[in-house]
Amino acid sequence: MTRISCALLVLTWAAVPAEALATTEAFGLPEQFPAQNLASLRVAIEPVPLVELGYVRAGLLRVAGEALGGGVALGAPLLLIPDFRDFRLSAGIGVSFALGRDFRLASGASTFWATADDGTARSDALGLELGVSARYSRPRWYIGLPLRLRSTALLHLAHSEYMRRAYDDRYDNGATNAPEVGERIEGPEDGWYALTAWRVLTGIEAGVTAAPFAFHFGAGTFWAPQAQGLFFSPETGQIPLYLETDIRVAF
Amino acid sequence: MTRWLMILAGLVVGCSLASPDDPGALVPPTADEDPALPQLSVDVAGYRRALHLETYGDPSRPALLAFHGGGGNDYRAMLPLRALADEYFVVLWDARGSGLSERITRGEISQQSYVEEVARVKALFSPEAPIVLAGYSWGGLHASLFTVHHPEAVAALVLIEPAPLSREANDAMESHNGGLGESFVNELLWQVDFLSPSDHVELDRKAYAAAPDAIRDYWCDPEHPGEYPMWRHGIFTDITATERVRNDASFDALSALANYRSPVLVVGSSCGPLNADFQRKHTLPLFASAELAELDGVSHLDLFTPELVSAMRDFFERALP
Repeated sequence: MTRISCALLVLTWAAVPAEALATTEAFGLPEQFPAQNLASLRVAIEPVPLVELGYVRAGLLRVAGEALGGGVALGAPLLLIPDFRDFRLSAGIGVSFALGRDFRLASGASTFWATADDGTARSDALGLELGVSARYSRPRWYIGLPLRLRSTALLHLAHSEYMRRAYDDRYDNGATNAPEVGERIEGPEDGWYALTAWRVLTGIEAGVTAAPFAFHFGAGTFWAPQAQGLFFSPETGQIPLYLETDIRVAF
Repeated sequence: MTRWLMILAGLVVGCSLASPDDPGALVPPTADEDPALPQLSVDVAGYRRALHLETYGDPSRPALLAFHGGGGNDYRAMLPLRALADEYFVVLWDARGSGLSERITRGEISQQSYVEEVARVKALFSPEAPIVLAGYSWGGLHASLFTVHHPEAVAALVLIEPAPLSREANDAMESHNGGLGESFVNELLWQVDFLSPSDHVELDRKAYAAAPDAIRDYWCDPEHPGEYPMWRHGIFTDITATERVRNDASFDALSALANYRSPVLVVGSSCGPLNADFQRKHTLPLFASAELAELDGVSHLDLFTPELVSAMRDFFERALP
């Protein structure tokens, strides 16, 4: 069995571009909006319809003269909320840098813990999201071009009996051509898997502030590793589109 | 608390992490990955591929080749056909790219390659004598395609609730589950950030999660579905075969079924979208002569019963010398 060493894992994380090390810009604050505390409601299709509640605290510290914000968010797929099995808890930081008179670079980094239970296994994913957005920024609004990388670094699977039954009946069926017994694989492997998912998202975004509210909209596409070019594959949950709106209120 | 301990333990001892691509870790391994599986290799469409294949009975008896259902599924549900081994040499196999057979590329999936595959398997087990060919569901399409290309090689054709074999039947088949309002679809979408579909294993894995809900309308009671027995649904093969084989070109070719003169048995269950009524209306008229066996109290997904075996025996006794 292939084993992936800790060293490789560490190297992979260390390979994250330094300029992106700051979370999803969602955890930053619109520079037009110098409040200290914001509550947020994010509704997105990414591509699952998702609702996320968050809190952002501004001015945790200053980075290159800019205020760094930090926050947490709890989200869940809208239609799966009643099951209480699937959710995502995120925490991150964000900061926006001036690039010129009306241009800024919003940047952010967050980590997440997400869970799922699809009948085959109970899954726990630990991941990282990095994001930057080049924005044309005016006092009350902005438009931008975001680029995000979202990666699941560790995935723990605890398989169900349903999944284990998929391994039954493969040997000893009384076939006349059955081979001599060799090493047999009896069931799926529970445990930790490394680097199981990643995707790159890009699109367009815009925001507007009207105190005490700030609104953010975004839409775009994403690319994930694909088996033999199955870019669009609803059968496997591969619908490469996202839409998001984020409403924040200062208090 | 247990979950937190589990996560912490995983991080602390995380020096031993598995890869999703480890054979057998996430889905049952295919024949090329698992030498303990009964198998053989065939050359089709320019590639040599390992087929998961089992034989039952005396090789000197007439050969009965059975083609499974589902675009990328396997013959696990068809194992009860082993009971026919007292009179036939029964050959069950997973098509290339399907079930526990070796995975294949897009270019290997075509109407011609499925016909070629059946011909290769026939050549191995019944090179001279005609075979009895049985096709279930999607496999009915493949069995029928082989029959129209090699009618002389098929002594009798058994279609066990076949998928639509004509454009009209395909259009008439009711659409089924899979809308964005379905929980299992949302679960698939949610898990984009858990397991990227970077290779076949990750794709196949998603099929297990989707299957119970995706096919529930094929049970007699969709609100209380059973569990369809399968080893692996090769989702890449399913998607690609749906594009490249279940199309007008195949339906045009299948119009030649009207010229097939050997015995034909069509089997239909009592419920589901491909039931006996559907077969009576859409499949029987494709043949100059065919008979229908109706199975009561079973659905498309649990019709491999002793009653089905009996119906096939009765048919063989009457139709074959």
